[in-house]
Amino acid sequence: MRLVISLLALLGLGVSAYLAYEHFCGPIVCIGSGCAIVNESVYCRIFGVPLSVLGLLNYALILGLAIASLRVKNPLSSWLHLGIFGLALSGTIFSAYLTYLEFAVIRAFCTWCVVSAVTITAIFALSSLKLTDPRRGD
Amino acid sequence: MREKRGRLLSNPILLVVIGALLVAAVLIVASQFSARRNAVVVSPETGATQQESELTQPEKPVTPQTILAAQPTKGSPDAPVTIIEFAEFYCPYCARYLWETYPRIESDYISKGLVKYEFRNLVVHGQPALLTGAAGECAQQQGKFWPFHDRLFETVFPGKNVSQSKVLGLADLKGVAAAVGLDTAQFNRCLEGYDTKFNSCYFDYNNCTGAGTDEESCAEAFNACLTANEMFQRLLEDQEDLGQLIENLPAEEQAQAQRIGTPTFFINGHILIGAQPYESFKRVIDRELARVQGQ
Repeated sequence: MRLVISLLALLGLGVSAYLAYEHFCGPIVCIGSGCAIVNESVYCRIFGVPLSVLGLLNYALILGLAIASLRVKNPLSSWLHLGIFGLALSGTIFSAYLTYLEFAVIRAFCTWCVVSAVTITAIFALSSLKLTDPRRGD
Repeated sequence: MREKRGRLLSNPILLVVIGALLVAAVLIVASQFSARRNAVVVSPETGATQQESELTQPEKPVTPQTILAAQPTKGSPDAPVTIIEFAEFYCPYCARYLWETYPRIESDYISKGLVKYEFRNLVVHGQPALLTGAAGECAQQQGKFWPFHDRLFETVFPGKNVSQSKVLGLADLKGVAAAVGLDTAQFNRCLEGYDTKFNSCYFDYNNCTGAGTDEESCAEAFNACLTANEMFQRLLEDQEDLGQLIENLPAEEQAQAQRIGTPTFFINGHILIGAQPYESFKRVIDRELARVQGQ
């Protein structure tokens, strides 16, 4: 299970790295001869920090904890797992909020943002399963 | 009671859940605040420091390029001076200009048949601004652009407070249209047509970039897709008008075109950037009036 979480975190890391690299907040739609139209949502950054970078950080932390927990024994491993659970929970809630924005407010959604939302939700589901039943397979 | 609280605090899972909820809540609140701030902060210059010397009389008279008949226009068609405003409904300086400076231009020049006034869209705040731009074009279709324009600014900046803008959705825009007495059925059809088209083109655009195609060709395909919509096409034409006006600027004003933001004005082809004080407009308008009358 920790291995699956690591793989999912790796996927999330890849997706958010891609989003950050592609400057999803930057000028992506130009009109006419000049690039006058900047298709940037006001939600794309939180006080200057692009959301993709926040996602990148969260996945990196989860991946780090998951890999570390593969290498250590209980009880430390349980504590690390609790950390993963916490990060995934806040990530899932925030992703749900963002997905709501995409559909209800911005009325456009990006495929990779949805992939990231699903990934973090899966990590959260797995980590809560493991939390409620610690014996569940590793 | 105290014992219960003690147990609660000693349960690490519960602590983590509470912590995670708090973090998520802080992020969401921060996002809302930041979005509100972004809506205003990404604004172009005020242009308040325009230099007089840049507005010296050009060698040969410049006439504004003419422009589609069906554009929103105010004032006498035979007025000797034409002002073309490029603005956007989310631009706080445009709103400030509208409320502080424009009324004086209207009473001193437009109402006296001295100035003909035109409006064009210059979209700088992305998707929501495109939507309001399209809504303006839908109102123009019914010949009621100006009341819609005035009401729209008041809706975007409630209480005429330009430091806080409100991002409008379809429903808000329909409300504005109804409030100024537009044919709502026709307006709604027009705006929904644009919106549906935009969403489907944007969907394709995201799939295009998601599939790893290079951004530029995806953007090109996006534009081609949207151009099928008449309202968007009209926004595009505004952009083309801007390009043409810049091209025809007198040489000494060319450099200013580098820093165009909203609002930007062309007064008989002379550029004036930003929500400048009334006196800056007056100076150029009077000079143009004198020049035309001297001919």
